[in-house]
Amino acid sequence: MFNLVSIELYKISRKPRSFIGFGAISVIVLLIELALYLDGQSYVQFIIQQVEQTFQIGGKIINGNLVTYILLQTLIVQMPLLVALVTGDLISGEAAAGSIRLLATKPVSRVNIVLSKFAAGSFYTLLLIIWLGLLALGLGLLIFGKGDLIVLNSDHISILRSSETLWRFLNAFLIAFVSLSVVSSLSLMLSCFTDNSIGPIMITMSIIILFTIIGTMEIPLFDVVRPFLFTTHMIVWRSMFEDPLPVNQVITSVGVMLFHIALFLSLAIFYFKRKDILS
Amino acid sequence: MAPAPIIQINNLSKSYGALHAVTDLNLEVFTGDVFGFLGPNGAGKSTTIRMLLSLIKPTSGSIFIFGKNLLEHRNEILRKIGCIIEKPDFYLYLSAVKNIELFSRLSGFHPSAKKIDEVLELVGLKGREKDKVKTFSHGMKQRLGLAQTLIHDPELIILDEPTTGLDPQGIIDVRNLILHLQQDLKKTIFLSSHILSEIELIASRMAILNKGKAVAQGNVTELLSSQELLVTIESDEVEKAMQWINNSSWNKNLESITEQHINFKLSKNEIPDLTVALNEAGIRYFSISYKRTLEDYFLKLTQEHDRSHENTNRRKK
Repeated sequence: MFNLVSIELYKISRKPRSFIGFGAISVIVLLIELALYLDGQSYVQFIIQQVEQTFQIGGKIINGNLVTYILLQTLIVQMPLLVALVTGDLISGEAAAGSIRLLATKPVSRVNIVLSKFAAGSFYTLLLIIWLGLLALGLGLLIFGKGDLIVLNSDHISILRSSETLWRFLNAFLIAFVSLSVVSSLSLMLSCFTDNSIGPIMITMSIIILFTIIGTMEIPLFDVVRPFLFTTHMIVWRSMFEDPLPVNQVITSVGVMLFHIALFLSLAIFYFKRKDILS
Repeated sequence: MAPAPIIQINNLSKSYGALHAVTDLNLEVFTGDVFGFLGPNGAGKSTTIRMLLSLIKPTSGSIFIFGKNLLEHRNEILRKIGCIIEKPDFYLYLSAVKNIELFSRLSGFHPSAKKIDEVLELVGLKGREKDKVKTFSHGMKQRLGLAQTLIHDPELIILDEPTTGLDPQGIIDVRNLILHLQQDLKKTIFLSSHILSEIELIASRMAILNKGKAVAQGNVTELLSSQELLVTIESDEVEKAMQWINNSSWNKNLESITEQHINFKLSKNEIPDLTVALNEAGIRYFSISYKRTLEDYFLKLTQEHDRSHENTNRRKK
């Protein structure tokens, strides 16, 4: 299995498209940090103007922690596309190129092929998250310095001490990794169903957009399905910045996401094991 | 005692809904064979090869390779097989060496740089080993496919149309390589090809497939010796020969006559009898030659099969 995963990782590392994610994250992080560095004060002023009538907020509001939080909010929308770009191509890309024929005639079980591709896709996702964390938090702290994190929620404000933010960010990144693993398992599953590499990427994004719309629209009919949609739980990383921490909500959401990963992976294995390779 | 079959296919069928790609196929390939697998497009050759390599699952029937059931011992069997299926598709963004290395690692074999070098030299790709496969021509990819097939020293080699896209020299090289693999390295080769004369040149046994069914199977020489040949006698005594032919039993085999040539339709076994008869009749001749093409044989068989198939269908209606 280790041999298979290392081969898959090597293949991912040699594909130009694998670097699009790292490039996109770098550009977005640098652009936002530059913009906040140059004009962050007016941006923050705009956000806190509604609470300034009630509270007097002092101190260094724009700091590395707030910048990282803003970046996470912004990038979490784009990250699924960057992940699906690679994981949606892992099996269908091989089918489109024809290399799946050779791969499937090797003495490796099809279950292991799917699992190794998922493991490699997850490792790639983890690297993307680590890259985002290093760039956002590292560069943010370097440029803007430390400070307490003020988070505006819909019905309350959380002010988190600077000393408390690191473990919250680490956990938020970990939850973001689980969220993106749902995306990678979904796109990998779709990748088993088709022989072209664009289809699974497009369908993955369409599903996420559809579920997000269903999840955000306040229509009673959607209330029933909302708790079962993985997209509802993908934003649970935000809960890491609430005080007190809603532990049960976090555990439930992570559980639902892990269930989705297991479901998508099982379906992928079930289908790929029986699939006639005709490409 | 007959050698044990290295491949044994029993009543193998594959259907896609109403389409029967392969029907009740029975085949035996023996150790050391170069087994030719012939058939027109859509005959079911590639489907059969894909079933042999577990790319597609049979609807019914069984496949035994190295005496073991393919479904139950898949990995163990595939470890000892090298193959090219249709066209060799590699990772275009990787070099030739890296492709070979990755695919052999998948076979559980970690080749040394020297071994990879040797195999690439054998297939004529030395000097291009570090180039990305996307810069390769179809013929070069085909050669790389052969290198990938041989790198882990398999006992059984399955080649689906291995000369497609190769230039004439490339075709000769591949043919010689196959003979080298069989004769010197004692490999068993299962070869499908649309170049029928190629099978005639290198295969020891063969099967002909038409519409998913085997219409002939056996030793190439025996199958072809039963075939009628066009035997041409070159002589300057055509008139004398004609008189003799008209009064002999050879009359029924006469096909045509030209100024210096007399053509007979004969089986290969009848040629020695004809030469004896000509000598006894005192007819001077310069040469006896025969034309035998596998194409003729192949077409005859498939057409006969098509006719019987149509008759069966008509009777059913």
